[in-house]
Amino acid sequence: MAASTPHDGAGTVLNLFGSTYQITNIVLSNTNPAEGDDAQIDVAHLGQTTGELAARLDRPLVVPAEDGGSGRQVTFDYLGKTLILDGSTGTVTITSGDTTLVNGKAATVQSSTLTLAVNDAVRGQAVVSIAR
Amino acid sequence: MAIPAQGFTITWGGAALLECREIDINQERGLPLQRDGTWTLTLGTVRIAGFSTAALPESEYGRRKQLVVTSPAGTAGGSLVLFSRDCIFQDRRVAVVANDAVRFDHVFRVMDTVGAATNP
Repeated sequence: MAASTPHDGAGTVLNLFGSTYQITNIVLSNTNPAEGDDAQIDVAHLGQTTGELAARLDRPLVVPAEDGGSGRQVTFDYLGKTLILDGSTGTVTITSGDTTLVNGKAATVQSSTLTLAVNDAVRGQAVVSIAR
Repeated sequence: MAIPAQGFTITWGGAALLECREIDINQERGLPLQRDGTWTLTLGTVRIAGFSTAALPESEYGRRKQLVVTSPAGTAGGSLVLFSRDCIFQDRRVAVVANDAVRFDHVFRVMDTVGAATNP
C-alpha cells in the first residue's frame, strides 16, 4: 500500500505568463534584502571598549538582493520544448494542491536553459525573479 | 604589552571627540630655522578620521586648542597619554557618499615649540 504523503510536491502547478509547464522540480526562495551583508555600515570606532559588539548602522537605502532586486525568486525544472526567454516579463502563479504559494505576482525571467540530449526528454530550467 | 586599539579617549580643547575610527599621530620634526636655534615650522601632524563632528563643527576649523589622545585605562599599567599638544585644526574633509555614513577626516598641525623655555 502506498504511504500517504500529504506534504509532497505532487499536484503543484506553475503558471508562468499564462502557460503551465510540466514541472519536475520547484525551488522558491525568499531573501530579505535588508538582511544582506551590505545592508549595514561598519561604524565601529575607537571609543568602543574591548569585547563590545562592533557598531553597525543601517544603510539609508535598501541594497537590492543578489538576484538584482526583490530577493524573491523561483527556480524550476520542466519537461518540454518551450524555450523561456530571459528578460521576459509577466505574472506567475504557483499552487500546490489547494494552497496558493504565489498569486499572480509580477515576474521577470532572469535566466533559462533548455537541454536536448540523446535518449532523454527535452528538459528546461528557468530562474524567475518575483516582485515583493 | 600590546595595547588594544579600543576604548581610547580623544579630546579637543577639553571636549570629547566621539566616534573616531582612525588616529594617526605623526610627530616628525623639521629642520631648525636657525643654526643656533631650535625653532622649526614642522612638528608633525595628527590625523583623526571618524563619523561624528560633535566636538569639531565647521566653526572649529582653523582654531588652536589642545589635542589629547589617551589609551584606555587598565592597559599596560593604566591609561597612557599618547599625545598631548597644542594643535591647529588645519584640514577638514567631509565625505558624503550616497547610501553611506558621512565620514569626517581631520588633520591637526602640532604647534608646540621645541624647547619652549628658549622660544617665544
